[in-house]
Amino acid sequence: MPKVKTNRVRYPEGWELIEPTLNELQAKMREAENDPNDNKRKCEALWPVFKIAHQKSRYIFDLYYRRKEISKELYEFCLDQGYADRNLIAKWKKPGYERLCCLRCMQPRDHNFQTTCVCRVPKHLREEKVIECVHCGCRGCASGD
Amino acid sequence: MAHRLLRDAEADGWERSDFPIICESCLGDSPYVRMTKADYDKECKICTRPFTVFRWRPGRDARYKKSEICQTCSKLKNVCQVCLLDLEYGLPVQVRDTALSINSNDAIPKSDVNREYFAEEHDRRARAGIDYESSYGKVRPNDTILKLQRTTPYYKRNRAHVCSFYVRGQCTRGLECPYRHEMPVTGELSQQNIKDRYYGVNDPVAMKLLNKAGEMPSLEPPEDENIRTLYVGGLDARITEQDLRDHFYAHGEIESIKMVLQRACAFVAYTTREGAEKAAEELANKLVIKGLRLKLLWGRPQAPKPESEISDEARQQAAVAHSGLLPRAVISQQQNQPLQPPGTHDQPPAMPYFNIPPQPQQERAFYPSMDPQRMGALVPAQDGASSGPSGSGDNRSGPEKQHQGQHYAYPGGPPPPQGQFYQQYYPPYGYMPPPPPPYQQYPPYPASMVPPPPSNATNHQHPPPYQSRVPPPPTGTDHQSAYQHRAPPGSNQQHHPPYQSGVPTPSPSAPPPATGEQHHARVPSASGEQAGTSQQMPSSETDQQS
Repeated sequence: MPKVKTNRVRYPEGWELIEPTLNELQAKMREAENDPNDNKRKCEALWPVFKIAHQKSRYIFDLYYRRKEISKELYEFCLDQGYADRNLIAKWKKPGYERLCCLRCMQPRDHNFQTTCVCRVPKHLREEKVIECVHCGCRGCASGD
Repeated sequence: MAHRLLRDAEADGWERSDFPIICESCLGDSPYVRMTKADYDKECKICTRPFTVFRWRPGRDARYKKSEICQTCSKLKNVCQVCLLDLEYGLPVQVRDTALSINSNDAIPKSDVNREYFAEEHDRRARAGIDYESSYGKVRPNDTILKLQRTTPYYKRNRAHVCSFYVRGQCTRGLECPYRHEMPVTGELSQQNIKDRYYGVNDPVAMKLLNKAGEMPSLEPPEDENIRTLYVGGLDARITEQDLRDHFYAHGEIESIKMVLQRACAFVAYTTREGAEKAAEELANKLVIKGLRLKLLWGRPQAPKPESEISDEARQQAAVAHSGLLPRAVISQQQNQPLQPPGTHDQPPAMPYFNIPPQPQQERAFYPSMDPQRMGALVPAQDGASSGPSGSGDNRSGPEKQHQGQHYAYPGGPPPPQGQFYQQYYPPYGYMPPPPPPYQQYPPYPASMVPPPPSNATNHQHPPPYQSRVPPPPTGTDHQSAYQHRAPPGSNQQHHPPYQSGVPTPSPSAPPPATGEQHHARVPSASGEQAGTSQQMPSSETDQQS
């Protein structure tokens, strides 16, 4: 058999510091994926998945851009390994999207009349105050509130 | 039709359109509406052919609505694609057809392939420009339908549906739940079927509406020949005396017009009785001044001040008659005036309007709730006072029978016979089949009926029920006793003929509450529903039914 190249993961320094949190988040995610969706609506069952994905990305984003506690190498490593969502973080860097909940909610192509999800509307401009967006269960991710 | 595959858009007969055929209410109150269009998205609920579905939100607090039936079907019946109500009048198909006497049903096949074929043919012809007769444009609206129609859009039907989880107590969505957290309104009207509604058969809402229409009073001249005054109700500040004059002068010489703005009414008095009758006949349900639909009734003799033309004597007589203080014999004499059947009830109904301001003397305005007897309370002073409602219930059957015999033009009023569905059929209202009540009543109530002079039947269809209950003795006593009548059970029977006539009068109180109740009475089927309003009516009616 030809030699199969495997990619062995080499963890950069600083990994030990963030590894426990990341493991916890992974465990939560697995739980969310496996939980029996008993009394939930069909869309509601998926919400925890989006929520945790957002959390994971947020953690890494914060560490690097806000708190600056990890190196670029480690940051890139996390992104490559799939501990955070690169595209979502790319949005967070833009003004107005700092609190974006998920990528679907701001995609006009996914909605009727080419609009965004209602969770992107600031609360003071909305009519119904309490909403849970149907995609990710977000209650409001506009930057203002 | 197993698979609907679009092979050829044109030939297959699948419908495409650019804009839905909808009514104002369904379109909503907002000037900004965003609508999605989906070709061949759903099957028409009637003909099951695919058609273009439009979906939009009719206003801020509305749910999303979408077109339910195809345009072909909606054009066949001239109805809105969403709510299936007529486009011009906002009425259910059954109501519109009955009111305008259109019968479009025969031509439309209702089953299976036949129906689809018909729809497709129709569609094809329409597209080809062949003029099929669309009779809806040519029908002239008659009064009935003008009265029944909905003039303003009704947005309540656009509200969200009731949250079924909430009804079970299990709504976990709480505040963000888009459905209404209210208890659903159940009842006969809740069992509606789209096909029934479309074809105009067996539609509960339509039945209800037709019943209401049937009971609208037709304006017949009152018994008292001296009355030459018409009551005009529902006035507004915009309507001036000159307006009234303009409308009424054509039918006869107007003696006077008195406007009572405080009560939003006016009284138009003619110099001749014929003039008044002519005016009543012509304007009865057509009185619209400055866009405001006004109510027209005959003036009532007893009405105090506002009535200027009624002869004093007539008034006094009526007043006295109703005080319940005269011996029966006298009263019966008074009552032996030619009372005409239908519509004279407008005297009783008119009462509430006229008598409300000046109530005082003789306690005329005796509302049912004022009657201690009604709720079964014991009023020691009066004899036979005991049984309130229940006692009266028994009485009813006896007394009631009498009335049945009389010709009821206003059958709806008192105990509709046997609680059959006829009870819903009030005086023949044009298109309505003339209610057989008078005849029906005869079989069950063979005997005593005929003697009572028809006169009695008339305007006191309401009072009749009451009267019958008035026990023989009481007439003499005060007017409270009129109510006690319930007490003496069977005794009424014998006394009937003589006192029947007498009875109508004894209760001036009877009329007001009667009339008040009358309005209530008519609408619901004669069952305990009316319990709220008056006991007298309902119990009699329930008795009848038994």
